[in-house]
Amino acid sequence: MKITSRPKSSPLSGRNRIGTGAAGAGAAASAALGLLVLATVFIAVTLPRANLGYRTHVLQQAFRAVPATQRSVLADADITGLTQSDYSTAQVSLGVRQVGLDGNSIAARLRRAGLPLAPAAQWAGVTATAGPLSGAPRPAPGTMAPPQLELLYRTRLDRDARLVAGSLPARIAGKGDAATFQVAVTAATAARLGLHVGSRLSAAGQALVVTGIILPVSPGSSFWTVDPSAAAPILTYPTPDAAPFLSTAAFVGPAELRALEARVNNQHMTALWVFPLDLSRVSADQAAGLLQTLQQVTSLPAYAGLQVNISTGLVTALPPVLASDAAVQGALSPMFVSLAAVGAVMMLMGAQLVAGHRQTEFATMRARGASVAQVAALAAGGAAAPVLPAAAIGVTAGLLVTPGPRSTLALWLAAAITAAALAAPPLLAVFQFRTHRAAAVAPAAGRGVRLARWWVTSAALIAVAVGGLIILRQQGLPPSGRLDALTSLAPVLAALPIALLIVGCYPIALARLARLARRSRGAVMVVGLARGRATARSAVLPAFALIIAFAVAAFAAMERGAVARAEVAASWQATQADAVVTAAGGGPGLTPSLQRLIARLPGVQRAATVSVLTGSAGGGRSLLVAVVNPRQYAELAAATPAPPFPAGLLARPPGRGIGTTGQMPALISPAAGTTLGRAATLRVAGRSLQLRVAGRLASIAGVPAGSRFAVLPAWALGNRAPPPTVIALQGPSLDGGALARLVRQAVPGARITLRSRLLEAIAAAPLPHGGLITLAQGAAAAGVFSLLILLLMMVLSARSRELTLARLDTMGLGPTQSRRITAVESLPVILSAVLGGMVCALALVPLAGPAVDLAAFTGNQVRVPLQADPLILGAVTGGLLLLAGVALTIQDQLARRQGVTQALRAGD
Amino acid sequence: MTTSDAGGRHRRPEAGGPRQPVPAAGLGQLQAELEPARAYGEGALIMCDRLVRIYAAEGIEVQALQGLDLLVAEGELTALVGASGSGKSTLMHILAALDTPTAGKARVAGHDLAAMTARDRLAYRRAVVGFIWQQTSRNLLPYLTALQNVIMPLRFAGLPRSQRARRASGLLELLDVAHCALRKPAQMSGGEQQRTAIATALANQPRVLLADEPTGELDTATARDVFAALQTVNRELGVTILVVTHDPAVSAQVRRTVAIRDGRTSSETLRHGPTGEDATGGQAVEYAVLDRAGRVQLPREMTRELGMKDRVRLERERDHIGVWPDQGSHS
Repeated sequence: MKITSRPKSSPLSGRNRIGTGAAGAGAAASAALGLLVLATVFIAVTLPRANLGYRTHVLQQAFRAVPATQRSVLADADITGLTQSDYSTAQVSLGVRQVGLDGNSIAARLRRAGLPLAPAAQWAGVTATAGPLSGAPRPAPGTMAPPQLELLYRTRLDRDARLVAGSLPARIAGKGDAATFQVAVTAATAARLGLHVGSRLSAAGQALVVTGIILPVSPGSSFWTVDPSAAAPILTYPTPDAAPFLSTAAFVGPAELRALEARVNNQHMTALWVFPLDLSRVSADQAAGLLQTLQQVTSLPAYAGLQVNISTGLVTALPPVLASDAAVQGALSPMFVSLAAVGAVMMLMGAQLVAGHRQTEFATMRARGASVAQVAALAAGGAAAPVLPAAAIGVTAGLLVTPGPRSTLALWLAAAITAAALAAPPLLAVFQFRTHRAAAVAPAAGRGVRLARWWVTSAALIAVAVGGLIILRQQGLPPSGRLDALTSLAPVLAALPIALLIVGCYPIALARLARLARRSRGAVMVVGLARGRATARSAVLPAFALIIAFAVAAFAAMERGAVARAEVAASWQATQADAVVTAAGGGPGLTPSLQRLIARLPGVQRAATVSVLTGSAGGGRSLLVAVVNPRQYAELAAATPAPPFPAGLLARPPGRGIGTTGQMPALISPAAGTTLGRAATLRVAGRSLQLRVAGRLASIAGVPAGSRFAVLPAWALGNRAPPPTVIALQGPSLDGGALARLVRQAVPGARITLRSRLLEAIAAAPLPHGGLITLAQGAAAAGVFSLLILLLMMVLSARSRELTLARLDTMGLGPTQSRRITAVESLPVILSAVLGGMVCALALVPLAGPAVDLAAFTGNQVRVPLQADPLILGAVTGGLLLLAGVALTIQDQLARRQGVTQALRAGD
Repeated sequence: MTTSDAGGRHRRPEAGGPRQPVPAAGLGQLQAELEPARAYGEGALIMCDRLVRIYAAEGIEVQALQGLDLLVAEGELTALVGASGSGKSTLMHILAALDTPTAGKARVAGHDLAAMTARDRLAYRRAVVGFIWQQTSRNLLPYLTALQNVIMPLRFAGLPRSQRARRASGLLELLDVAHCALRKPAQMSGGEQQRTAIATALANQPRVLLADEPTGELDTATARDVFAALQTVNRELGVTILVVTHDPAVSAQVRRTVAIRDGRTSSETLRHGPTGEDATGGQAVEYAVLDRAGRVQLPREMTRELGMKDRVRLERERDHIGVWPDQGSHS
């Protein structure tokens, strides 16, 4: 029987209408989670990819700087005995086809090992040392021995050489003793030896006829650089006493290979396979693996009786690049780990937000018979709706913004964030809706018990964090540039106890303040502080994350500051002055009139001249000698950050004349310490001086840093002192342009080194520049995370706050007061984050600072310690407060849209 | 030896006289005395025996239920009334297996609510009891249509898909909200929402329906409609219904109204005669509940008026027990 109802009242009238607040709030929470995931995934993808991009750019630059031969894998085998003993066995001799097959076989083995070969560039050859060359129209001068000839067979001669005259060698002409090899020579070889097409030569008893003149297509390729004599004759000094000779080469044709092996069989013969590597797709992440593979591929099993030796120049060229990269990455790893921790906290807060909004819904479902697993599945499904599209968008946007090599780390991070965002809501739901029996049997704990639990849990976490920090200190810091996991976790370990202590203590402080506020007339402080105290426990996660974000930003800024100081120090170390003019050798040097003109240029405050000569310390040991006016140079050095110049150690003793004999005081560099003892004889400028080493000097203007040098006072050489070749200038606003014009005109060929230009070059170097950009990006990411955390924190407490404010609104609270209450409520967390962040950042300087090798950023060994900078801490504080203001404004705008009535209904 | 008559009065046999035959009524009582004592609440669908629920909040213990006794027979439509904080909602949550008693017994349809495992609880909520809250926003998911809301418990219970829609449509039809099948809660009136909520609560064919102030947010006319729906469900489907209400109009339409005060049942009002929408009267008699410990809650207005407090004097009269203030006397 149906129930007949009375005429319906208006469907949407008054009491019968239910607002959509609940559904809207749930959608907003899901949107917030989606936005969170999008932002976090985007940052997780872009930071590592951008970092990888810089590093790969640097790596590729390093590859390009390495000669082509070093960028190839060389396989060679000595086939001298093989051809000699097995001449009669045609199958065993290394024919053209066999050379090719062997090359393919070796290439296959190398590829299996994981090397990225460039198959199109691969080539092979046989080199036979033919011996002294005779018959060249332009013989060697009498002081030289006859040229030595190599006969080369190469597989790609027709592609790597361009024929400019005649034809490429085809086949050996004639038989027996009359057999004549056809050969091709490069134009450089032909010019040096006076050869032309048709020239007849003889080497190792073999007759040769030049049939072609060729030019290298790519002179820098391995084809022409693995044996430099192939491109042009090389003057070779076999021993210091023997007469030099020209090493030359001529190419034979493919059809002449077997004859070459047969006829030039008493000379050294080598089979060579060259496998250029395709390094264009090798990313910085893959470089270490590449090096490891290259180091492992040092020999191959014997093939057809040949012992093939594998070598590559990259095994020496790569390690310094990788070491610099590792050092920079080491300096960045605490930042990456900290940002990951902040991201994890944000995911948890986002899940809390979603779980909170769906709590009523899930409670209804549980009452309707849903099991915990079903509720968890629903929570997971609800999370998937915003999370998966947001993650896809974040990944896509991240990939588009940072084109470059594929970063496995970026994709793993994105996957981890997505998985965390999907798993957290169902896990929270399971925790909240586990059996009622458990909740009922264990009655809700009183306040005292809850407080005790809080302190016990906090103490346990603090103990773990402090224990980790103690272990970190006790095990000592790892070799700089190789940060381990514990050191990378230092910011998180330092932030955790700070956050717990601050959040645990500030309710006490708030209680005191609230008591004071009650004496005031207004409601803002009373309500704001009371709400802040009520939400204190829920502020642990946001405070923890904000402290880490603050510390990351501050630490990154401090690293940047230290790098800047190191760059400046490196520029001073390299130049010792604001400008250094070095005259070309062999000229008149810097005349006194020129010195005066230079010293009077705009911006020049001080000038000091240096005469740089070469001296000999006996036993063939040479070193640079810098002759200075000690007082003049000391004045210059005093005006620079360079260490003071000890002019007093070079002072002329009273009564001692200029240029007199006797022991002369000298300052020597650390490198010269092994060359000179405490007292040594130095021959310089035509004089033999007895030196007395008065002290050490690390560097001086005009002399390359790190070289062996000695500094003498000008009076020691008397009138034999040569004219200065170097003038060092000091003046922060020195006019480099005017200096350059004057010097170009007055001292042709002179070199000008401006410290400011050098500093720019140091700062712009790719690896450190990329590292600094990554630091800046990390600091920016910390800022974005901080804003999101602040917003999340406000949104999580929004419902109860809006209800409170709406009720107060009905009692006469104004909108300005509402905003102030929100600000006062949030202030304790923000101030805790500032205070905790400062403490954390300051703690990180001694904890992790020494392990960070900032020298990698400057490209030299100048070590500048990390320093706590109050300006930086102040700037980061200002940034956080600014973000808090932005978050409060956004929160206020969102709250206004709801209105009082809606808020009050939403609280029912 | 004494005997008692049908009215329970004890009589001494005449001294020295022959033994008279025992009247039939006395035989019934003798039989009752000789039979083994029945368990309390045996035969009742809902049995609460000295039910206690204590909450601890901020270090203070609150006794929401202080030894509540209640028996509800199958098929009854019973109203529960009481002031705020009297324990009504606590009782409802315990009966719905949403909470567990601190002490005492509670049994519904043979299920011991104090001794259930989580799995038992889940099965109980799926098959034995349905719950309706006051707030319609709590009863229905705002993003599902009426039909989907009714189907939801059937999904949880694992009912095959082919049967779900049929059963859900039937319930919506029964409650005269079939036209709302494809509407979301925001598109329905308050009355339609609550009737949909009733259909949702009945989806798994429970034996007991618990309604916690289902008409609290509705106007008079709509509340009447909703209550009429409950009555029809009780009548047509035989579902035992327990309704918590503050609405006197609702309690006036049920045969039995149980009042709860200070965590115990204090009185019951039984209506004899027709009830329901068209009830023209029916005699309502209020009884004070005599619990198993023999305690009775005297109405406050009576005790205040007569100046009764701390102690009262009981006097056994011929057919009643008199209750007198300790300083007064009757004349």
